[in-house]
Amino acid sequence: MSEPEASPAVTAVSFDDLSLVRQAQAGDAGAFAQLVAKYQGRVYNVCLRISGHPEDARDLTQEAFLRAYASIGGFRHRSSFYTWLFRIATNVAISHQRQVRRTVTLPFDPGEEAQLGRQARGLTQKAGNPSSGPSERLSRREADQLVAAALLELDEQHRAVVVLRDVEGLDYQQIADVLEVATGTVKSRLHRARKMLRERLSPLLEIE
Amino acid sequence: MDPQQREKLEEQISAYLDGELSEKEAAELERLLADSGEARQVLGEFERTVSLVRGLPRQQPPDDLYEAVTSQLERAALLEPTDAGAPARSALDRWGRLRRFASVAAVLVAAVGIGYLTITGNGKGQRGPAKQEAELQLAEADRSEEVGRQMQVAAAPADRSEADAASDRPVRARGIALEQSVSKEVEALAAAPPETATPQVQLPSKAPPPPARQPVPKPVSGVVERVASALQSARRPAASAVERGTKTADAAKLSEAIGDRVVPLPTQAQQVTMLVTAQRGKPVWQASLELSQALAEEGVTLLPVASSDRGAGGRAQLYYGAGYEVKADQPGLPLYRFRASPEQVARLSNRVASVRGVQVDVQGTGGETSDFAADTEAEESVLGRQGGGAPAGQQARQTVELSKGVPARSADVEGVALGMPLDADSNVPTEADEAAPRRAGGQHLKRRFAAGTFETGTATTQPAPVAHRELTRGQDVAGVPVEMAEKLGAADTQPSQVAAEVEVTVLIRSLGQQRER
Repeated sequence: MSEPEASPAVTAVSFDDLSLVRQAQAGDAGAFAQLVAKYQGRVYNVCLRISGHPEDARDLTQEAFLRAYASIGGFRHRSSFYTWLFRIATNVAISHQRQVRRTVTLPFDPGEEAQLGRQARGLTQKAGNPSSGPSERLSRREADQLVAAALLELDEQHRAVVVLRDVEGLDYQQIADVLEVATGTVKSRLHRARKMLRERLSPLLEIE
Repeated sequence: MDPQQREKLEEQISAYLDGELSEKEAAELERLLADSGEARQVLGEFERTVSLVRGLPRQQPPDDLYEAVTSQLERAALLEPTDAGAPARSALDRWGRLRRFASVAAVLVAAVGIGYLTITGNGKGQRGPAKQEAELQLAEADRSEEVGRQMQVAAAPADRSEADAASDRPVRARGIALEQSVSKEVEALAAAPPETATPQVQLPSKAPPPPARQPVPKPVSGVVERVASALQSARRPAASAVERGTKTADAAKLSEAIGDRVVPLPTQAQQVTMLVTAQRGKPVWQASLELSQALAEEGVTLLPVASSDRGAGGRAQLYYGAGYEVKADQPGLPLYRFRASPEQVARLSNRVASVRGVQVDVQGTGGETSDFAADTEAEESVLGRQGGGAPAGQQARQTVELSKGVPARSADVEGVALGMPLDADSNVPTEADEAAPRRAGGQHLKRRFAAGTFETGTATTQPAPVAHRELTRGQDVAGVPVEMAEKLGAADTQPSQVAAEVEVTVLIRSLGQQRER
């Protein structure tokens, strides 16, 4: 017997989320744990791309879920659960980044940043050198490093909008809901962010 | 194409790549793309840029992330008896329910205690009346206020006028002492009362089980006095800082025994340090969860500290208390940073202080003026009021002294920056010094430097490496120059806003002692 065709993913997700959220609101921590299992990957990646550090992303993801659980009683289903969850995660991550930027710490290894800077410059030069042979060209991993580094050079608001759109695939309306801004703002921020990325990644774009 | 047109074109192309243009807009753009090589070039560049970002590999979350989150949820659920909508229920409600059961339990315990004393101490002829009295009290158990009054009269006569006057006070200041003093006796009752049924926690994980509930001690002789004393204490007006310093011996003893804390409101401070000292184990994570929930309910802007500040294990260890076990004379480790109003800070502090086995000390620094170095008396006065009592005043004085001096060591810097009380012998290097550079808040430092509150020339020791980009740039920390402010960016040199909100740093530490059984 053939499997029945799966219903559209969005519908299934919404239904599951709805029932799980209602169970969680009724005090079923297990239901919320299912939501954690379902969204931890997405939330983690959002936090990772905004914070740039796996360790921070781990903590921020935990923080986001704990805050979501603490507040879920007040969730009124005006938006989808994951939009609401992403809003919490994004706010937590952005706040964290602002704090990090203000405190300007060089905590781990004083030479770490300098080393990263040298690496990035080396990669950029390598990417921009037209005489580089195939073996000298950037590996995919190196290119990803450059892209991730360029992303981190954006300010938090522009970074968040790029992450939500190009990493998480949210549409403008969803991004607007998450960031609580107008869709026009999303559009202009994305444009500015991509423009900045284009400039920073110009060596990569030229060899594409 | 002029710059404005090009800007508009780029924005349209960006949206076009996302499929966010209307049909009409898309058609117009496509016509332009067909005609303009420049437009096609922009499209190509944006397309490649977007594809590079979209090509970033998705990272798998750490294997232990799910377990870490759900184990915390499990504890949160256990701590938060739920019914409909319960996760949003405030801890105040929970404490309210607990108080009702505490009142009932107090009567039960008192009845047992009275009976016990009657049987063992007063000899013949008293057994019957004692039983009747106990039954009478039990019958009126739901009238907890009245029962409390009876208890006071029966076992520890109190100033009724004071008790009556206090009955109108905010509920938060009351009840904590009651809850804490009788909590051992009521724990079994409070654990699963009909209306606070423990939720069904069935997390699909291998989350570690919560620590075993402490055994409930049997009532012993003297419990009547303790209960009555607790009731009396609970009816006392909220102790001001001054009153706290002049507590009666009995009240002080009770406070010491049950950890009665009413955290004073921090006022006129820019930066506030909330030092949470908990006994190892349950109180640590209970306090952190209470705070976590309170923060969510207050809706404060959370500024998480870096994971590196929390030790190797991060928050995961916190809930077992292991990661925050430090000596009593050492500062705690940063748990949260956020901005909040002084009233919120007071509410948050009292919430955390309501957890048994947890002590909260709130100190403010920064004053309402950024140049408190020029007016140390005012600063000391401010800090003294915040700290409350002689010990706190002493701490405040020390803080001021250190604030005036050059932060010779990063530990001093940290202590001052975070408003930590430092001991008189804090010039002795400690283990904490090594970790200090990681925890020293550059933000605080910069503000201090910007405000010119540090004087130069009094450093006596070589500085430890400081985790501050500007400071390490050819500068000697010991000779922190006032002109450093000139090297800082405009944004960095802005002192935090005064009055409306304070920046709060929550430090938590576990003293490594098991809770008294």
